[in-house]
Amino acid sequence: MPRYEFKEGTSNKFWEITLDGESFTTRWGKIGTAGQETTKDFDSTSEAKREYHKLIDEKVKKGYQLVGGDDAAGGANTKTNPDLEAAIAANPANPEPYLVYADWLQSQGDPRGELIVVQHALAEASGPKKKELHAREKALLKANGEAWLGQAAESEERAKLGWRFGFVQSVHLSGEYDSDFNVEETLEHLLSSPVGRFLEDVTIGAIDFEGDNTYQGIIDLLVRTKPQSLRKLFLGDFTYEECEISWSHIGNSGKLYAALPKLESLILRSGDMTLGKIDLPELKSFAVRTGGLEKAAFKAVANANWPKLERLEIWFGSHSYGAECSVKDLEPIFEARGLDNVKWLGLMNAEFTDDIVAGLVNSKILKQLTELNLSMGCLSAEGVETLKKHSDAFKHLSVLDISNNAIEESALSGVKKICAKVHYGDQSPDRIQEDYRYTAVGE
Amino acid sequence: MSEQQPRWLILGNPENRRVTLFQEALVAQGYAPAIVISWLEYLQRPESLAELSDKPSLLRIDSFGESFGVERHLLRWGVEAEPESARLTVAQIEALQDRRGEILAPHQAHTGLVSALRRLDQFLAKKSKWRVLSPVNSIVDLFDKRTTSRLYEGLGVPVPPRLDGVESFEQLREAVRDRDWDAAFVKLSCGSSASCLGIYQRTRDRESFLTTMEVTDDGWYNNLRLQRITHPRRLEQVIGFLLEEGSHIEQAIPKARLGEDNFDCRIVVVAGEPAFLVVRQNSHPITNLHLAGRRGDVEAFRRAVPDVLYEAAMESCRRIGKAHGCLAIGVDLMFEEGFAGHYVLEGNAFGDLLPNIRRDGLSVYEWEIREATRAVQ
Repeated sequence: MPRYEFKEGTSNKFWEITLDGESFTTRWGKIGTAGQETTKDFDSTSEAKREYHKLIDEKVKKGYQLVGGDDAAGGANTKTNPDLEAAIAANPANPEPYLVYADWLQSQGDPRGELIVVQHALAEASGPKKKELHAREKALLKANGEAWLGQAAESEERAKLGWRFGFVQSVHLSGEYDSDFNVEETLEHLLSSPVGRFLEDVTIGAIDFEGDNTYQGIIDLLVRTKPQSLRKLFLGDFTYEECEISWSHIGNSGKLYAALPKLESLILRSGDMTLGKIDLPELKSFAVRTGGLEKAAFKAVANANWPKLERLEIWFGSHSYGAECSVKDLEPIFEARGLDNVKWLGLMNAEFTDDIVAGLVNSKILKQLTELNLSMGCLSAEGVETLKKHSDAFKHLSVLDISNNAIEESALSGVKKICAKVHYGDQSPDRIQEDYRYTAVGE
Repeated sequence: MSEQQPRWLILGNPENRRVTLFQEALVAQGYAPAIVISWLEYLQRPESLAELSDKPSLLRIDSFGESFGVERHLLRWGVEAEPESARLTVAQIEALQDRRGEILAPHQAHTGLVSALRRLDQFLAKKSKWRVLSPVNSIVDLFDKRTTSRLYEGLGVPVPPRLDGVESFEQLREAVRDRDWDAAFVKLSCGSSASCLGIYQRTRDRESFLTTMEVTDDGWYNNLRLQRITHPRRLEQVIGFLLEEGSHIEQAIPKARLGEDNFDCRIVVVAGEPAFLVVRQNSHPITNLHLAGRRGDVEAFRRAVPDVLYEAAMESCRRIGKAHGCLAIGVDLMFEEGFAGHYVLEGNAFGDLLPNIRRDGLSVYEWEIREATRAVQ
């Protein structure tokens, strides 16, 4: 239970808060007294949590200082050394500073020191030596896993961890039907744990199997904790068995960008999303994968500030699932506005792929691309005709992907020759229907 | 032999393939083609039916749908039957243009249909030698999903939990929230073929309606491409319309899957026995075949569903078939996610159009003809 105190002039107050599922209890009063307490109930744990963090933020803003009781992970024997950590953060791929840190940790009696040494040695070991090191690594993780990793230590299925020299470098978290495994809490634990100090790559699968699968809680958590080591984020990496894309929601990611200014790769996959003003100075790769992209979300992408972006992938989706864009909206993309460094472009899963091809022919963006992906859309013989007719405009591409569209067999002849490598398999010509309106049959 | 064969009569839309295919089936089974009384003719001059002689006959009443002319007459009958609740006046009906798929005044057309069927029943009472293959009262029942849901529940057939007495969108929203449902089907009570229905879905901070209804400035239409309505005012407008027209609301229970698709079954029950089954599958929960749904693999379906559950589902179909007493009825039935159970979603009075499937060499219509004549002889 976090305890905050405020001492200024004659003020000498404390404030404590305890979160418990769908409710929290606050206690406050003069320092040295028991004070008074009150409990507030909410409709859901996530709502309670949101309100809980909001109140803490308010207190901190007013000048309250955390004095203890924080239940952050780690345990008493975990030590941290900010200077040595800074040396690692400066170049996380370089093993040297890790080994320096390992010496220090071992001198403090922290078993993480040995973990660094063992995992470093593992990278170069072979044969029986390697086996021995693996056994030691396993033993260390078994002894300390729960303190270091919380729920993430429980299941390799739900929490797939990638280690680098004693620290968790990547994590893939995914809930499970009928399980108490809480994705949000697990990530929170990892981010506050010393072993998660250099977490670079976070992928979140399905969170909720009871219907609405929303990532707002994860976003709020990242906004709150601002993990500066994070480089890659993928929200919505679930399978069809786990969740329908249209039944999952990113929520509002507007505050995410300022919290993660060093992000290099961002993938958002869900039915709907509110993107806000995207400003990611280091971003190199962005993907929005949805069954129905709303106009507002597309505009956020088109107006984003990401000067280093190299790879842009947009799924437009189907009208039936809320897709709102047409080729007219794509003008900023065709003109490569703010996309000077984009070499890989995917305009995918669109109902208007033929129009996209026509729009690309004389576009500025096409000239700078090496790869173009138009897959999973409604490209028909008509669009293919445009591609062939203007093959000069496309021939510089190293890869053109027009697979999984609606091209009839007969129209596919010669597509191979458009550029160096053309993917054109898996076509479903009946995807396109002319008249969608129907008369009720009266059964 | 042919002297003793009963005469066949069809009340239907002669240009519709339901009628032409049935005629072909009759001929294939060695009968003379039926005398067809068109719905249009009947609605214009109901006596035309009374004028047919009272000799041994089998009357098949088939669908009135897919015809703008018939719809217009049903709307007129609706004005006559319930002038106070009519959405369209006679003058407005006269002025209607045939715009494919347009949603006009479904409740009014339904009122007209019920009135026309009641009138038909009066004529039929005088035809002692005619056998009506689907009792008129059953057809009336089958065009009211609220009635059938209660009826089936009374028979011990599992149906999805229902919301009764919901009159406004606000009430719907509250009721769905109170029951902690993730989603609810709102279906025009007298609707069919997925017209005028949708799934109301609520999440913590959003609500939406996935529907076949297309709202344009130039009228409302049935559209094969599902639309997801999220705008609050539009939601209120569309769901408000459905509630005003009379809607059946039930919990949208997650359907079992075959591969990656949702699926349900259409079972044609003939003479009380489940006779034909097709699996309908789609990536979204509205599986009707004309909405880009696909006929699924029946064998894969039989492998997936446990025998006990399959038998329970067939028993539900039998009960429904017997309760309505129709020669043929189309039952829509779903299995719950993970094959935890089954639910009957709907009964369809004219749900026997399943071209291109055969059993023991017989089409659905041929099967019906055999069963109908077997019962007579």
